[in-house]
Amino acid sequence: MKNIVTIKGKESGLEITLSEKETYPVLREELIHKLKQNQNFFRDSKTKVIIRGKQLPEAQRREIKRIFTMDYGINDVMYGDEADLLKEAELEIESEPREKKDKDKDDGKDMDLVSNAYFDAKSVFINNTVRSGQRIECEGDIVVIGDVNPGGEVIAGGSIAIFGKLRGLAHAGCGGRTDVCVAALYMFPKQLRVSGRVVTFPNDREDPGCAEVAELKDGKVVIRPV
Amino acid sequence: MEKVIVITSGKGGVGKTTSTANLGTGLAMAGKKVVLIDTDIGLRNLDVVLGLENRIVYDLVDVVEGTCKLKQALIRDKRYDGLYLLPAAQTRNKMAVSPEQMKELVEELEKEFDFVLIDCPAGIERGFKNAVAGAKAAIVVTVPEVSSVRDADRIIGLLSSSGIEDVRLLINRIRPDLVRKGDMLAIDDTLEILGIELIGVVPEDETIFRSSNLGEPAVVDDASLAGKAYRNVTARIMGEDIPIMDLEQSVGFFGKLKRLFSR
Repeated sequence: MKNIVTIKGKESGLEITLSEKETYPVLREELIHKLKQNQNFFRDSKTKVIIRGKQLPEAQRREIKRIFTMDYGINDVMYGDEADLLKEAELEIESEPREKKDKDKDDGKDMDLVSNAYFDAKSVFINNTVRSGQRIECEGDIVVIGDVNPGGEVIAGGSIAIFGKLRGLAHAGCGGRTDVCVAALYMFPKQLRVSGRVVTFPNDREDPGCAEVAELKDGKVVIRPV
Repeated sequence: MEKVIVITSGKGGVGKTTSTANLGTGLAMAGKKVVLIDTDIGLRNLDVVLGLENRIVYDLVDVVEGTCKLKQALIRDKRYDGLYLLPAAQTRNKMAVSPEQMKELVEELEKEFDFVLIDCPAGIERGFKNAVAGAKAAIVVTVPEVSSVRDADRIIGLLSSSGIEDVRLLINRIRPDLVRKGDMLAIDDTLEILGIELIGVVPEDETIFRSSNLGEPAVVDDASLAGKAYRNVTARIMGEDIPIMDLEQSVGFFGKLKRLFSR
């Protein structure tokens, strides 16, 4: 009975582990009891709390969070899996992204319907055609050696260079950066986004016969030959 | 080409099933032992197009679930030596079979047959995953129309992410007269977008409708233009190098006459 809820002090805050063998009501009672005993843990309302152990459904998670907010004024309560996710994003780990892992769990070696394997990478170099339904997303720059077909999406926090035909969607500066550009050997996207601006292309646009760059100038998207 | 080929398209109604029936029959006519697998569980058609509907006793789901032996479910087409069909179940849905089970099944069939052609359902969900699970190569069927080409593009991406490298394109139902007027995507435009090897071009042909309704694949009809195109594709599957048929020249006397008047 003693160890079904353990509270540990960590450098980042408190880590609470809930025993996986116990039911939720028991755990909640024990947690409330232990918190009352150790009120001095929470002198500062900025204390971070991470809860690990037993997987709880969303409703119960909310209830526990409410206990912390109402009784101790602590808002920063996270569950283990959420905390890990945040940490991963902070560190920009270039390992397998979470989305893919989840899918693998679902049905074994199933293929990805939307490929987004590059999400966590700083910048990406794609050495094939981006086809319809594929989405290349990354925080940095993206270089594509090949075409971007209609229905394919290339989304970058930085700039995009396409050594091929751009006929799908390209979005440079998706995080709000304005010092970015989209370059392509053949610029015929259905839609082009630079930072917060969206431009559409007329279907009967004349082929300039050269590579082009799209960038922001005075808040407008300007397209010029390279 | 590899001997286990999935025939797929993404979009429905472009002629996957008709192509499977014709290519299968064509291969059998060329003396190969071929099995056609219909993976469109719940919406089976391949048996109808082949005219074998009345002979179905057991189906794919029965085999997978162990209700019958694989041999019992295979239907031999009496008209063409070496042509077999493994029909889909009509009263079940696609979740009744898993990709792993399909893979096992295909591996078993592969041992006994020269070619295994898998007729894929439309869509990219479970049915598609089942169909591609055991395949080593793919023929992507598209009609010269933007929505179909878009779906084909998606399918090519999915095929390569599921490890199928040998992917060929079959352009179906092309109408040279419309292409000439600029109302239909030309072969080159389609190829430019999809960027994969072309295995054949099949013209729109009225004989296809008749042959599908009768359950006799057009490939056996010497007079049918589409049948000839399918015979060429069959030869290419078997590794022969045959040039793509020039549809302009094969319009025939009446076609030319019609064109003359329509000007």
